[in-house]
Amino acid sequence: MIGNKSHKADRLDSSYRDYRSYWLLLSFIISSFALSSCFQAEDFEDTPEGNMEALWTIIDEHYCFLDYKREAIGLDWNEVRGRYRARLSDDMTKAQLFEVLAEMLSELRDGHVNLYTPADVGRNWSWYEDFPPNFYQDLQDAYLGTDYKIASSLKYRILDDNIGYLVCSSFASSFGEGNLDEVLYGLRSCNGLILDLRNNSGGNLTLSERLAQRFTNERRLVGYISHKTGKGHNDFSTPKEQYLEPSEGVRWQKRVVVLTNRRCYSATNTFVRDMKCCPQVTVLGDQTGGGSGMPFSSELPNGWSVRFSACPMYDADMNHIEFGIQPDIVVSLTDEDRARGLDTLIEAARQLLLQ
Amino acid sequence: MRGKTRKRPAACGLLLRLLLCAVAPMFLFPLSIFPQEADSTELNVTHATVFYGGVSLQQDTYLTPLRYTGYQLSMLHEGLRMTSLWRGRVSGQSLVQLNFTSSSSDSGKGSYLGGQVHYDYALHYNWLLGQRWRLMAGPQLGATLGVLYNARNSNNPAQAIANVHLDASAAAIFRFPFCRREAAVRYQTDFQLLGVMFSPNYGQGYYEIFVLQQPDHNVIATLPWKALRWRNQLTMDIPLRRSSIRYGLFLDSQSSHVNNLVHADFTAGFMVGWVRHHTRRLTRRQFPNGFIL
Repeated sequence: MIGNKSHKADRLDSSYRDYRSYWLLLSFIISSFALSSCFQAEDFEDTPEGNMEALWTIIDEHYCFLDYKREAIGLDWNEVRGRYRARLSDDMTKAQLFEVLAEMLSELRDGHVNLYTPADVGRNWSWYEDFPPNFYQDLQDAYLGTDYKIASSLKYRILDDNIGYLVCSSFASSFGEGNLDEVLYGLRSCNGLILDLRNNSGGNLTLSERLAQRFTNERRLVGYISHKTGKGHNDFSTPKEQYLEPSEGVRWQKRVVVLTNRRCYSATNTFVRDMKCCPQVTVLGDQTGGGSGMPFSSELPNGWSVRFSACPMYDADMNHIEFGIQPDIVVSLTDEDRARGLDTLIEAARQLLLQ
Repeated sequence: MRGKTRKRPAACGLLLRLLLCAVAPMFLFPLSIFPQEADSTELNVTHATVFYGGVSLQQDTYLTPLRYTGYQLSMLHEGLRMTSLWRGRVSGQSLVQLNFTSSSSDSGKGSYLGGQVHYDYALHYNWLLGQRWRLMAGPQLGATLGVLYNARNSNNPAQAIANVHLDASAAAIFRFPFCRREAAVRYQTDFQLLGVMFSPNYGQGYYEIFVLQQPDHNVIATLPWKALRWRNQLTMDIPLRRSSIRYGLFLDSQSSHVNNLVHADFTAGFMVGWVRHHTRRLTRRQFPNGFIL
């Protein structure tokens, strides 16, 4: 296939020399295309100021509650930048830098915002630390006794007055549809169900949805979700509906009391939102801790990892639930009851279900 | 028994026809009845399998704003042969590329693991310049599937990579005597012109896309200033017995800037592999004779 006339090649070679400048121009255009669509993100140096600027910018461009918290708690993120930059110095230690950056993040008052370093985790846990616990493990253990049943991460038993008692202490530990079928079928003869969520700080949203689906017989609008579409504080997608679909397995048809305290956070907060839309459900106890922003991760030039809320979720009326959900009945655990070995919330739930 | 026929909108039908006309030749060329240049019943096919390793520079602002550096190991399989198209002046080239990438941030605390599968098919028109030069140019259709995983992220742990693209592809081959046989040097460049790619939106979680099934601008049509793949290969084939050893340099650039997210992946490396030439007897159709490389 190669053989051809040499004079033809010579003629073409000379014409290529003539067009060499055009080839150079074409190469330049191609290079421009290649470089124009890459590496447009900002650069930050691994210095105290570079790390602070990187952290401030990550939050400024990705955090989803800046405008909401400006209204709700008077947060001014630009003012925060100047105030904390003044505390930086070139010779500060890692521990000192961590202290400044962690304090800066705590201005957001968000349990989903953390700064992870090998030595410590920056956090603001005021959403439960500033409030009474309304929960004591020894009291719950006393109600469960020693002959309770365990279905994956769920614990349950039938109390003396024929009330079912189901403890879900985490949505981070998995349980399956088969577990839920067995638990609800095992409690079918009870007059009502107490679902104790206290100190459940969240986990997997698909697990919380899996459990909530057992308490509705029809598809229900439970809330909305959106996400950021750009760097601006107001760049959000149109909120999309979130529906709770009824489970195809065993569904609970009797009354339910959901026990909550301030440590009900994140996926548990979403679960309570969903349950409040279901019939025959009463939420009893304290306000939940909140945490309605699905967290994303990023990192700083020095390798520290940062977590922040990225996708806001709302209730069915498009209200923010970032700072928690009010219970239907507010009940606090009293010292008198605790001294008598009673859990005020469980007792109130039992009375409600026996009425 | 006749079923009911449904009318398609006119624009949809036209689009389908155009799409069919554009894509069909890619797959049907072996069945074509174009006039033949040479009266031969042999089909000469060149297969090359090369492995390459190189340095990799990556950035994906969906995962982290930082640039990561590391290495990439790849395997590239190439099939090259003349077709009967355009009086036997068009060659068909298929490329299957498997990539594995590992990279880390400057601090060494963040790490990416990535894998990609590329498939490209090109049709090149061939110009023979004298006895030594061959120039090739034509369209290339390609697709990529892959993932880039960040080991410590929460609800944004990975970036899914999926795209289909139409490229302009060109190559120049120079053959020269080497130990009483022929060696070849080739430069090939593939430049993306149009594409359709997947990308999550700026702050959108995969939970929204796949669990709630709520997409939001996740399939995007692109032009070169929005998404670009630019692949360059410079290789030398040195004959060894009945096959050839291939050495070369590889420069692969993939970048996109969609949904306010930047993704970039640059690899430069050295490749080594072998080239084999096959001749197949054909019973019904005739193809031009001769190996391209």
